[in-house]
Amino acid sequence: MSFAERPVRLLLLPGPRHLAEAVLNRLASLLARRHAGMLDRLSNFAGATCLIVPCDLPAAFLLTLQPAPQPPRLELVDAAATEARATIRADLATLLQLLEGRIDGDALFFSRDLTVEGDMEVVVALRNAVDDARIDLIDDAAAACGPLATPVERLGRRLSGTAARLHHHLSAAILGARA
Amino acid sequence: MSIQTNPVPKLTLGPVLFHWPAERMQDFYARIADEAPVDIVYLGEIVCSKRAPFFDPLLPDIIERLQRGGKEVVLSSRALVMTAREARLAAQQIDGAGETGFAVEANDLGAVRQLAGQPHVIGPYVNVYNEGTLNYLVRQGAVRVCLPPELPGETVSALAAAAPVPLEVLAFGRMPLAISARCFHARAEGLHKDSCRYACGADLDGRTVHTLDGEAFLAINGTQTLSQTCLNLIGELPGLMAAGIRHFRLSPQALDMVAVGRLFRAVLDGDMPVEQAEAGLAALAGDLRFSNGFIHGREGRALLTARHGGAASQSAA
Amino acid sequence: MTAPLELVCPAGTPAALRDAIDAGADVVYLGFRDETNARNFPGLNFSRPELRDGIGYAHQRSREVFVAINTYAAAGNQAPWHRAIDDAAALGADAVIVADIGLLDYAAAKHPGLRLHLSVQAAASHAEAIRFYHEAFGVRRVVLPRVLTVAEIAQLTKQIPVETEVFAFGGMCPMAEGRCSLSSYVTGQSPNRQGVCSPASHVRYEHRGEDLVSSLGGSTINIFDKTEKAGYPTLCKGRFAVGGTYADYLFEEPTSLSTGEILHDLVRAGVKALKIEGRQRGRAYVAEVVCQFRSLVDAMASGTTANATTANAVAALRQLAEGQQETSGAYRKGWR
Repeated sequence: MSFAERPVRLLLLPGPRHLAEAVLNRLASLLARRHAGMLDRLSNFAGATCLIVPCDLPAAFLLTLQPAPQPPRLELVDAAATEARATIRADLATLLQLLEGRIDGDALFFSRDLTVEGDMEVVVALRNAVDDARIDLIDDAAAACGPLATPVERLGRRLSGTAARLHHHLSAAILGARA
Repeated sequence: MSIQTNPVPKLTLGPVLFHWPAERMQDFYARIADEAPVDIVYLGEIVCSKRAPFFDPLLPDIIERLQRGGKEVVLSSRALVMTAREARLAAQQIDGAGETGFAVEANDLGAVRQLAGQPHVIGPYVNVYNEGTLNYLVRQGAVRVCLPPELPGETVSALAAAAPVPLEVLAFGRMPLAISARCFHARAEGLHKDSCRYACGADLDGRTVHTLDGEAFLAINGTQTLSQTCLNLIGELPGLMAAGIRHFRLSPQALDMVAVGRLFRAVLDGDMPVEQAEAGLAALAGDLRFSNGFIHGREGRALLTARHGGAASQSAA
Repeated sequence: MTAPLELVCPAGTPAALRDAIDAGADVVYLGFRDETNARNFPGLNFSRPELRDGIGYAHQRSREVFVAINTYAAAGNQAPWHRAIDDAAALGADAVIVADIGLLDYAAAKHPGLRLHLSVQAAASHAEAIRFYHEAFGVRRVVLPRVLTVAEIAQLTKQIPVETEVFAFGGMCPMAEGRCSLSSYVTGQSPNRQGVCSPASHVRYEHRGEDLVSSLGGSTINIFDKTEKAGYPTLCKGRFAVGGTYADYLFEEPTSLSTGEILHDLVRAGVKALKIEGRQRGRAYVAEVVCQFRSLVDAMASGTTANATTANAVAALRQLAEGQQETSGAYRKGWR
């Protein structure tokens, strides 16, 4: 499960959008730097947009892939008012588990806990690139803090305690639905 | 070195892929023998070993009739051999052909192995995609190679340029797309393959498969899956001849194949404009839709204007 | 006690390779990131440096890496396929998995020491065909097509001078592999030439009321109502209508092949290795399937008959199956 759900939810609390976007893009460039192979796997898709909709949140993410070595761009958008080449929908917990490669995207799709629309090449490429990258959001974020890494990581994981319990319930529900 | 003149293009007739009743089969080949302007006729039940006992007893008379009509006869081997029993039957068939002096078309690698060292034809069910494979098979004794239908024109041209033996291209008929251990006719009837009641015999041209939205999509023929569309390369003949192809195969459908043969022959001989022959084929085909996408490097079911036509290709679908 | 079955496991990415090995794979098979392999999907597969590192990781742990170069080289452009063979050999791959006669001929002549396995894409389904590849190119192992029953496999292994590897789990083709142009007919992209079947570039999902419609190249492949498990629109796993009375899965249900319960039969049939399908699946899936098969194979090798552990493994595999439905496929004769 992902320890990052709680921090991500905090990020999306009502407040100045540009601030949240700045943090998200900081995170994106960080991930791109720490996981260079990921951008390489996406190199054929520069310019492609993917709308990522956490269906339990009011906002959605619009991801725009850019030519390497530039990191992908992230914007907070209103899903209903945004066009993209591909769209991925699931609840936030599921999306984060996917991002961290902890869960099988195909199985989520079969069980309809994840829906996809638009250009499937973009979706498949993203899934494969992310799956290889072994992203761990808290670990990755903490690494950016240099000497503060350990305290930041500890804080992140504590913040996510509640989210972790929520996750257990969600995973059980998903597995139950699939049985 | 003497100047080599281009040999006259030959028209061939592939094996009947369908489980036609014996009488229809006999009548069909009698007309082919007497009237069709084809040079080579491939014979054999290549799809299903369960059908063979119906067709095999007819073979001697059909062969005799075709030879009387001046046709060269080639026996086609089974496309998918699975059980040891099928393998034994396939081997016997090939041995038998050898003893009687017939050429054999190998449609799987077991047949290729058995025929190594003697002249034989490679059928469209053997995967020949490149010069390496082609050259290997020629070293083993292949004297002609019929290419798989999914090859694009540029691949056909590259192979023709490199080929030390004549190449053959499927030019008309529903295209073989897949073969399975499973019988889809039986499945569609809720039957098991072992007790299939020869459900495939009900469809002279294969049975159309529709999508859930009602689009005519594919055709099933027992264990084989065919294209819904009927391949028609009559408009491509000039281009293919320019690339060096000299053998063109017509695959039997339940329509007037003698007339189809005459139209292809007329175009090959330069006696009829392509457009006129195309109109003639359309009149013969009835409900069958044509396609030629593979040769254009596109999806096989597409119908594009012929490459020699000058105008940019565009889908008519 | 029986000799343990070798577990040959998929990796679409370096991360999946490490997870598969850590989960107990004896061998990982993989492909280069281009049209030379039959899982040429966006974002998937290995660069040359990634293969070098992957082989290093496996060899340090006494495991092996097989490289699938199992599409058919293109006339006029065979070089990428020849390079793939050369590079796999140079980087120390333990075997290459090849289907194309021209490529086998090239590999046997150029790299006589390179171990050759016959890919399922060659669909060598009987002894004569398999002997051909062995005699002509020195092929040492055949990956059997998914069309044979266990009884046929048993008969076959006695007749051939090569090892057999069979599919143990994952997606299954109802058609003879490597001899199917359905995808090509509908999309122009073929498993044999481009290494893709029903490619993502031609797939669309559309919501129609409460139904989910999947299409390929503009043709409807399936319609799922809201209570149903969804499926990828692989052409042969769609629902179609035939003759006015039949409207269902015509070629194959969207099921996953599973042999968890017939491993003993496969061993008795003389099978040497089990292949798990799924280079296109995520590493979480791969690790889980490998882990369950490891426990089943180990239990069998130590002479353990069915117990709670093996029952749990079989149940876990059922959870992982596509659409949570599994089948023993052609291994049981009734499939046909």
